[in-house]
Amino acid sequence: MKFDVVGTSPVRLDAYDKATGKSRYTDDEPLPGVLYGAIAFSPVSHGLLKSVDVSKAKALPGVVKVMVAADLGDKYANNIGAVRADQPLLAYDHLRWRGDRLAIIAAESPEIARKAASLVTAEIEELPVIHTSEEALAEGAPKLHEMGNLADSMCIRHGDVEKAFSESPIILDNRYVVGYQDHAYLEPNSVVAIPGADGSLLLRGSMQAPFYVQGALAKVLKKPMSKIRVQQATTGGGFGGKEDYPNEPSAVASVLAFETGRPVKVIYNREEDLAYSTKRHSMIIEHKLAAKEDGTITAIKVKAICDAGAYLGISSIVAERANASATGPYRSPNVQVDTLVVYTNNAFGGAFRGFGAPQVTFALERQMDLLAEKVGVDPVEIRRRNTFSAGEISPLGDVVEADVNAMRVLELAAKKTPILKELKKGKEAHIKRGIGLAAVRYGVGLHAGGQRLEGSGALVQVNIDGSVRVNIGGAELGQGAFTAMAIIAAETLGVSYGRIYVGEADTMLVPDSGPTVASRTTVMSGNAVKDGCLIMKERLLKCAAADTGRKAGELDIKGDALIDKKSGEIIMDFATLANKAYCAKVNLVANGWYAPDRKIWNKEVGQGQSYTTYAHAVMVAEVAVDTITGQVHVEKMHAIHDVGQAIHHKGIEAQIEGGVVQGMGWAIMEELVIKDGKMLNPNFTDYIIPTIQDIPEIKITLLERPYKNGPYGAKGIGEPSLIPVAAAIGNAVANALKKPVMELPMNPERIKLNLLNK
Amino acid sequence: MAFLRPQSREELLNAIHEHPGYIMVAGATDVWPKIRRGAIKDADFIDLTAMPRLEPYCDAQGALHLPGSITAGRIAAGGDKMCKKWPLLVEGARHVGSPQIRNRATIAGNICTASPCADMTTGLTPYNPEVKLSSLAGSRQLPLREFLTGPGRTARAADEWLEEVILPLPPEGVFSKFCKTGRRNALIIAVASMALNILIKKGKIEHIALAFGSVAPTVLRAQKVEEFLLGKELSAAIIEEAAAIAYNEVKPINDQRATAEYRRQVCRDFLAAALEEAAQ
Amino acid sequence: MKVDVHVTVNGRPTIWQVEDGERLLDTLRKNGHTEVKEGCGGGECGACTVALNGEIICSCCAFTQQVEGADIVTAAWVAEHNPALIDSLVNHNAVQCGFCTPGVVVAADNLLKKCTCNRHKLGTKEIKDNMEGNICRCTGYIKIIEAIAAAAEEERHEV
Repeated sequence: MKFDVVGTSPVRLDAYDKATGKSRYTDDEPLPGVLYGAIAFSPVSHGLLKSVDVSKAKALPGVVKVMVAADLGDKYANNIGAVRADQPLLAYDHLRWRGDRLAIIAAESPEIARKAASLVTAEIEELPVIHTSEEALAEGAPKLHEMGNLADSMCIRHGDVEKAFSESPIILDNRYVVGYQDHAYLEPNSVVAIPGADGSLLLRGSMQAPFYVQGALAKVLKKPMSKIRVQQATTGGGFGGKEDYPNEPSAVASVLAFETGRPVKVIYNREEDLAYSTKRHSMIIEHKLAAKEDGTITAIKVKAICDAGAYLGISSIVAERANASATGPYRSPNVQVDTLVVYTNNAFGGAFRGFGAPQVTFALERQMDLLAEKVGVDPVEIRRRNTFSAGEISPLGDVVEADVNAMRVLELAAKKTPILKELKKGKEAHIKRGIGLAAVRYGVGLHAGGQRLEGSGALVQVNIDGSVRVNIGGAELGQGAFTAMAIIAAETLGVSYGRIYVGEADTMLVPDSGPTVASRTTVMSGNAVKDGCLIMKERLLKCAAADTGRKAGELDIKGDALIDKKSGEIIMDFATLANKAYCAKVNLVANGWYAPDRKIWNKEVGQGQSYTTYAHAVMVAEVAVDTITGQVHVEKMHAIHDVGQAIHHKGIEAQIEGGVVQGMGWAIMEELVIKDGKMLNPNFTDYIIPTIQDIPEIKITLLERPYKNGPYGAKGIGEPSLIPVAAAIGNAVANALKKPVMELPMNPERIKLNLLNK
Repeated sequence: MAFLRPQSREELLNAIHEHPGYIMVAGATDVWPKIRRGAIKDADFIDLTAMPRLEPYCDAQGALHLPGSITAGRIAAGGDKMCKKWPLLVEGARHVGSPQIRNRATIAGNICTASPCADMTTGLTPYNPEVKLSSLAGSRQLPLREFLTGPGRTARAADEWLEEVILPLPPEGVFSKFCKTGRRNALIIAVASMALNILIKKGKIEHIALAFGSVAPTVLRAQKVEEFLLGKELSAAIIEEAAAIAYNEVKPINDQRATAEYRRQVCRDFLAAALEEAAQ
Repeated sequence: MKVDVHVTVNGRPTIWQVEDGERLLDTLRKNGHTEVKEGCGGGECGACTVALNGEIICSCCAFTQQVEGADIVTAAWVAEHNPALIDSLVNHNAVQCGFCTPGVVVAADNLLKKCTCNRHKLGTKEIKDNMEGNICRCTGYIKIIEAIAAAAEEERHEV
């Protein structure tokens, strides 16, 4: 299909303002009378809180308000749990991690507020710290919550694994351990709460789920949602880290704003953000795989244990995707997956690009390479033998879609990358080179378990000058969502891209559209924009028909003008049409809406229609391992992606390049050093992320086969660009060293140790 | 809080004489992170950046005199002569932080911070440098290894200023190697580093100076390795033995960046690889 | 106690009244230069990069009093005086969340100035060596490198 705007690469809507420094992020907005909020966090990882002393903080000049749990009284609800009411806004009895809040402070400057926070002291009876999820599940472990430490669990039951294990000649039973990752978006969490005289609230901030924030604030403030307006300010990156966590600083700022009657900003510094915001879960994955002699998989049994930290947050939802991703694009007649979510005193597990899938993909794809080795075939062939095709029943219990691209991306990898070629020997004796492949099947959009949130809205307004404003419920985090929306709107309305303005996400303009996560915005919001534009176009054409005396069906809008469909004759330009429509009293605001079909899902056995559609990807990593230092250098990454139809070509490339580098960071360098629940490296000096000197060459191949329910055929790309990265690098390192790789990150020390292991 | 900005050598020496408790600051690239993590609190400062900028020069003996205020960036850009005669110094400077940091960080700051992982200090050490310390009472010169007394500790008296670093001319034809490891390729604090000068004449090691960073309380001069190698011919067996001595001579600790054992192994292997290269 | 600090910011002579020991980054932002961002506060990310007398520095690691008499350039100045660089970044899709971008812009402009003086072709290695202090979490850096290389080529052909 030929498009006018879709698939081109127009300049991003926000690029100039960002590059020239004009864009205003939350802390850049001048606001008269603003106060700054700060938080006194728990000095222990586990303990009983006896009392909090805020007298010194209160006495500090410039401090306007200090609050502890008791000060919330009946006016506010002391609960900020995203999924379960297990998390207080202000701690009152049980301290479960270092991110628990003893007191919140509003002061005239951020320096005074933080100084006051440092003056808060507490009487605490320390309790033994739970260091790992396995410790938490052990008998007799101290209970972090009344229900115990097993916070949640989900499963897949498909066939009979034990029978298959007893009958299969090949069994691979391994344990994989993967570490945390911080999002390290460049802008730390930032919000500002502005109280209205009528008891309403405007909350602006750096976030990716304004509707989550609205819901959380309504609960904490005990106010109707109608009085709470949440706007997303220009946001300096999210990657999942600003999905649910902004609820917390937002609630702090809002309570302080109502108590002081003044706007309150809460701007985290890097140290606070690293220590207290959510992280990619650390997981322990026990992976048992059975196969026939030819490598055909007969059974997969997985136990994935996710360390949630002290509160559930949205760990259940992350775990749901881990659970559903454990078998990848492979057929297996017998599957048993158990995913456990466990309370500990560690870092707070949450959403992060890939959402539980990168961890289980690492385990699965390592297993696939071990299987290939056992069977004596190459990494492509082993996957070829097991990748399922259209019409089969997948291990998730649904029928594999007719247009499944799993095998296509695999064959592209075989053809376009050197995965099957002999490795060239390097000159330096201490460098070992390797190549590795990993595949992913990514469910685009929310899992069936969360489908009540899956609808998305859009507002399309045509002005009498022919300009068009679009608002969506999705957020612009830097990924280019608004630009994609402008392209879809321009394509649908038949006008040029330059006419479209996409305004910030605002809960007052668009119905609850769910969070900006799960690589869902292009598909969900994009379809909503398309819907809104189609409604608008129909109205305009109907009006034009009445005006020109022609039939609406003979008319079209193309190239910024009303045209005769057959002859192509230009009848009037778009602005004239808009003006005519206005004078004819046509409603020039349209509300678009999109919600996929309801999915049938059985949680008890984890079987059903898990996702609306799937995007497939294969990555191939070429690495050079320095045997002196143990450092892994990723020299080249080949990324093959099934994207449906590309909406913005350069935008897709940028997403993939960013995803590869972020995934590489997690694979080889990024690590949270946690001792007794305390993060020891909450700064960029020691939480190490990739610099420009660390990046590989990246070769991208796009498989463009339009997806029937995507706007102009688009699928999501945000997360598939990261999920297979660590697995591919892991396989490449194993290939280079001829040794097993069972742990992430593959930091220099781990590799060096691995080299010494005989 | 006070923030003094002396404009001349005399003003500076008077200021530190009067206020020995004030912290001297130049690039501030280490001071600010320390303020942030609370390692410096409610301090007063004497700022060195208002002083005239001095140029490095070579004296009659060919020794290089670096003003304490010279930045890592300036050294990293390396005049040709510096690169040729003192390559480890230039390499060390190139490994400091990022361009933004190198443009501010001074050599005096790098030395006086007395961190075992200071890259410039590691690079300097094999040249047997001396530091010139000045106060109202006059100046004195001290070998760098005597100046560095422990992590964050130096022999500098409270009223003394590190005015100059003096690097003697290394022997002609010396082979130099600088190695560093960390989790990424740039903007990284050394987990272990090595700076080696070695001169082999007619198969025999005539001169050797070896320093390791991040593996002892101060940048370490590996004297046992040096003593072992001096006068020897390099062979596979000698290299292996020297590397084993290095493994034992370094005294690293476990910290959040790495374990002591990893650091020992890397030092051993850095040295072995460098000696192999030198032997060729 | 407030102290006067005389500076030229983006070509405009200015007198700042600052507290003893104030950070340059804070002074800049308080005086409306919100294009200078705080990403880490420890000199480790480069979001706060400004050019001080023609050399890039992290404004989070400098005392305002230290820049007395200095000439300071932020991204706002580059936007006005090197629109070709901005165009190149924008056209190469090298801007995503944008929080690192003003720092990238200052560092890249500084590099381009250096290489225009030398009139040599700007290679990937030189770009990386000069941009290693600017962390970007979105782009994977590739489009930033392409954009700077393209801007340099354009400038070279103009010279």
